[in-house]
Amino acid sequence: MGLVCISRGSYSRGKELAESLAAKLGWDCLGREELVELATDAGIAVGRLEMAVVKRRRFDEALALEKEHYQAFAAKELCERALRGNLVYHGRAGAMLLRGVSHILRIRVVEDLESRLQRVSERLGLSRDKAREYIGQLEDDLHRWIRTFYNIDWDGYSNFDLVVNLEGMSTDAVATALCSYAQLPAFQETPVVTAALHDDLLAARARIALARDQATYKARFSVTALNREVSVAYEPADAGVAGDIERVVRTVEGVDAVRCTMASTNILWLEERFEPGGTSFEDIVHVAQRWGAGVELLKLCGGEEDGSGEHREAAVRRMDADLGASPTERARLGGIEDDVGGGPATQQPMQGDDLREVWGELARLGVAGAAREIEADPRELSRALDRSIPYSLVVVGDVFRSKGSAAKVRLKRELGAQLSEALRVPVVGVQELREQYINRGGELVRAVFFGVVVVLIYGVVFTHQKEILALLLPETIIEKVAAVVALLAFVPVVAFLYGKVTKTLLRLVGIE
Amino acid sequence: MVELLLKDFIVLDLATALQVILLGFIGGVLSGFIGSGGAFFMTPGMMNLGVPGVIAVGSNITHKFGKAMVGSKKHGELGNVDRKLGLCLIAVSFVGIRIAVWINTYLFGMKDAHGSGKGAAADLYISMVFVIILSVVGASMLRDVLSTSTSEGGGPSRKLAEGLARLRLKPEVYFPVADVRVSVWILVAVGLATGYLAGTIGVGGFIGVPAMIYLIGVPTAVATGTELFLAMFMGAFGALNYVLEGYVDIRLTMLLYLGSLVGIYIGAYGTKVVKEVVIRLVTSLIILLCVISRAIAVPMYLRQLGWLGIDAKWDGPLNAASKAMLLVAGVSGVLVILFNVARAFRRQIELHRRLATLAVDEDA
Repeated sequence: MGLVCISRGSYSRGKELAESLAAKLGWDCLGREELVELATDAGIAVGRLEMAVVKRRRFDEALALEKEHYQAFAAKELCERALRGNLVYHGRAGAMLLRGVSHILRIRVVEDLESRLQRVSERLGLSRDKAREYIGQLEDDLHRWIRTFYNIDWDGYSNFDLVVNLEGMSTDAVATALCSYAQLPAFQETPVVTAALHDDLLAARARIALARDQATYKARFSVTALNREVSVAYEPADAGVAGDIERVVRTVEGVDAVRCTMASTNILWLEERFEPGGTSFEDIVHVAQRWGAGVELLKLCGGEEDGSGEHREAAVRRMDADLGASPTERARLGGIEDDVGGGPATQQPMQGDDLREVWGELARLGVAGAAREIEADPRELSRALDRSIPYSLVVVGDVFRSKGSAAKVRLKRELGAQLSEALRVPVVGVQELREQYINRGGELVRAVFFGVVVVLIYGVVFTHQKEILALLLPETIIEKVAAVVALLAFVPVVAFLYGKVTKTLLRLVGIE
Repeated sequence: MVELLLKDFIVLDLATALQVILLGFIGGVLSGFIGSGGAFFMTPGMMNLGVPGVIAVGSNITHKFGKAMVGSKKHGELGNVDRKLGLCLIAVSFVGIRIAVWINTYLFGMKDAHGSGKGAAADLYISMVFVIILSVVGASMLRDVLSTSTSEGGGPSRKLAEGLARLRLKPEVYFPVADVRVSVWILVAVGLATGYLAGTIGVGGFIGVPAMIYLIGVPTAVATGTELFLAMFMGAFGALNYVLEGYVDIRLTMLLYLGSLVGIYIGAYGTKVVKEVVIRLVTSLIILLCVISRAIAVPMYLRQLGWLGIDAKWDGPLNAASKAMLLVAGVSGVLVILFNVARAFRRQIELHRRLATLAVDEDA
């Protein structure tokens, strides 16, 4: 298995480069146009999606569903073809569909505007100004498509392994250079990558099966797979189809078990080592059950911060045991795995027993989201995160374990700021989670205090209605200023105090 | 005839107070569910209780100010507020609010045809603006929902925004959070319209949010966050203007809070358990029923102004019919939401029970 994904702009010779590279490598080549045709034949209205993006229409539920179906279909095609042999794919940002799979060579192709203008003018017979406008519009549409589908900035080059500028170069020469690049160990097949692709394929097939079944086709799902176990999260609004999910997913070949979770949002939990049944576990489950959220587990290992050879060797040993790799296979793994840690953020399917155990326990409690293991410097995490997932909270557990306490505090703070900026949700530590979201004693006392103040305020106002209203009928300038200041100060205070009281009371009955 | 406590402030007996709290609750549920301020329900509701229109608007805009202050803080923490855009719109919207307050105050001071009271002109004017604006909003929303299955994509087209952007009306300003470049003239038009409507009927968000999305090209989350930021200042400025004229009844504002701050949480919870298409359908129907309710009261104001020759005895039935229609709109909408919330609760409990049973079986 080898997979090269080329992200190309309009009229930038990306297709030509991909075909040349595939020919030199002797690999299959798949273009976006062919993929769209296959999806359309399969009944997915890709044209509607295109029009919605081009016309900047809001994605309603029907379009969001169509988007999910198309993404699942595209992921299935890429995984199937990559697992069958080697593949060069060229399109918009297809590589982002397989964010959880490492060892894929992700290339972005760009070219200078002048050459592109010339090409558009020649092919379409447009004037220079019209050609410029045309390319500008195409680029805008592409940016919007990628933002809508993957929630990333296409010009954020850190999403790619390589950015190639074709200005003044022949595609043939660049393809020759890329051949060597594609042969690097970092982009070769490993059992771990193959397993990850199998999991993604299984998840995509399960999603497609759900889209094709009469009972479930109208509902939205988030499907992930892990070692042949498929996890399906559905929204509370689709709870009516919950009973059909397992029946449908079981029809997909290769599925060993199906886990279903009703979740309207997600909590991301980061740890270097998970402890099932620990205090953190209980706290997070408590919050997830209250919020109706799924808990996504992210185990951090490797990377600069935990670069001890001991850890990595242990990981490989565990991997061998899990996958039944022979000594020969293990030997083949060794050199390649050494390259993983120092590289960009890459994800691997769950191998650790602690992760598996915690995930199983979460599933038993009905709050399991996805579970992944990431070998990377935690500071590079944002690249590996799927920005299209609606997170409500990130809990950073005990990470940077190998560091001293001061460095640990600093690094955790930096990681929190980075995640908060990338995902735009609150990021808390385990202790803060307890203090801010669980420990209700203080909150309850505060609410009772605020409640008493509110009762007093209302009591005073309603027993002195005439006097209070008279204050709001100012005559002189001084009275007017006093009335305005009093009102603008008083109203937010009442709203804040009473708001806190109602929030706490409603939380107590499970509404938040 | 409603008894007055002081100047134009009505006497609040327990029944009226409870009705205002109920209005607040229904408005709050709808507000949390729809994402708007709920004024489209609360303002006419108070008018039906005998509160003069201008005081209903003044008290409601003050209520909106406190609520928006809390809401915009939350959106600000999530990075959904474009303060630069908000401040630009605020500056212009103040002019719109000032115009609205001036018109309302002027009309409120006009004597009716019989010289026996005042407020009919202002009530008629507020009702007419309400009917016209919300008819357009409700009908477009309903058309949007009904055409979803046949159209090529959801939501209205952005052709207008693109057309305006292509005009390149100078000068233009760039807003970094929303990541848009927009003509100052479009900002002025949007700000004026939002301010005027907030000042007239208290529903600036109905215009402000779609205008930001479709005319300026702001992402939806940023439009909502910025609108709340805007609403906070517009509410403060509106409250300031109405209190200077003596048209804010703080008792009504406080009673509205009693209901609305409970309702808003329940409504927001409803959005998690109800499908988007149902939310839009319910919203559009509630808005249209509110429009009908207000339209029913219009002949009454026309008669009071001597522009319609009907008997004064019709005032009672017309007011009762208007009140009943509003109640039907609000209560049926809230019941749909509460039914779905309760159903989601039941399903959640069933799910946990099933999981607990499975766990016991596994342990066994």
